[in-house]
Amino acid sequence: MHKIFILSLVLLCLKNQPFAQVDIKISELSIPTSPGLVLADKSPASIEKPTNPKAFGISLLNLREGGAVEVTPFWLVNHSAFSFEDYFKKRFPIISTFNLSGATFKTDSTSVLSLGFRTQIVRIYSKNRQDAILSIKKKIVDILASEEIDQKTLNDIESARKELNGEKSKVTFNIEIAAAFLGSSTNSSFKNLSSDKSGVWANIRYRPNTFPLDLTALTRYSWANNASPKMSKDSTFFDYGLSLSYQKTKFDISLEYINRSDLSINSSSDRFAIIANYALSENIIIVGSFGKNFENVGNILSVIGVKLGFSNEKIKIE
Amino acid sequence: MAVKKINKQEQITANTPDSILLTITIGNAQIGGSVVRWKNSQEIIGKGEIKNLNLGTGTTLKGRVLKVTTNVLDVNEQTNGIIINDYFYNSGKPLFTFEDRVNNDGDILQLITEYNFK
Repeated sequence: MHKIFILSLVLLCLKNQPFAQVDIKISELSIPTSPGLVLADKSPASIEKPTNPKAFGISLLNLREGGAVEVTPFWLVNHSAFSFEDYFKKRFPIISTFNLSGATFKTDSTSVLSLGFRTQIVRIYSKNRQDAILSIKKKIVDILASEEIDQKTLNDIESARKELNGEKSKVTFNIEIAAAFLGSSTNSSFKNLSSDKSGVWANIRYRPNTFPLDLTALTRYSWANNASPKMSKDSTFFDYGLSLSYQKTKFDISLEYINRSDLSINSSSDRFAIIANYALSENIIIVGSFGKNFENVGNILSVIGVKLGFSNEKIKIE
Repeated sequence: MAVKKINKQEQITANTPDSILLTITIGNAQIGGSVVRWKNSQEIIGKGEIKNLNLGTGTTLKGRVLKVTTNVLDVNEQTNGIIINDYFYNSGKPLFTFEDRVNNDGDILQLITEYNFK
């Protein structure tokens, strides 16, 4: 039933999308996936590429399970001295990418609330990439230096902008760190919210200049709160894994493998998934994830959802 | 891709024998290009990125109107905020800042400002 809701929501959003102006940027995956959903294994992908989150964003996996709200405080205000060059030459964009999120979803018996953050601690463009970005920037400046903007000028600008986006998305090396906390309540009440699980992790991305695949490595430590080791089978985990992804203009497909060690009972399990993102428009991405999840039983992974990103307060669904 | 057009007028006091220099900077990691010319003149005195453009000594500028057209393209996927700084070095009030928003990534804001030198 909820898939019908998803379809309805997508159609509702499509109604308000200016298709003539669509600029699909699947390679940037600018629509956020909340750390809280990642920690709860509710995210389609467990290994997320470092992203440049919007000032304000909403992720909606599906209507029954809930979603997430994210905010990047740095971009809630204007920065008059923050130039285009600062953006991609800054190697430690910790503050400008610091993102806070809250997420909620339901299980069969509880309502879960999560809080999390993430930030890029390192972002490096190779010298060749920087030169290419500056070259395109110069071209855009030259086109923009005009008193009249006609259709041809607009077409030239749009073409150059797409070229620029392509280069900007090819970050050579990224390290993103994230952390999240999960709490649950059996009666959807804050008063009865109990602390369940916490985790910290890092996503390390490398994109060779000439290789068509993106490599993202994950290392994650998570632990159950209020659970005594040896008493609970869900206590302390160490995850490591690797994701390979291939991107085209409208879609992104990833293969990911994660090994999970349960440090409290000395056992391990793994997750293997294929994740596909298809961009219907700039702010609407259909996402599907299929494969094997960590659990020994009921471990078939099958998630289909829609991710919505809103960067503008004026957007409304009528 | 939409173009949002804004027109405004400003007054500048430039009672100085020193040269007035104009620098235009674009914030929020966006990209902009400008065209600068005197009103009622077709001669363009500055184009592209404007840095330390010598407009002449302050006393010679009295009564003249400078037309500055700046187009900013939203290339920053993290914000749709636009911020333009026109800095007139050696003038009475050197900094004029304009802030606005565009609706979508890829939109353009065109700001046309006429500066009246007093």
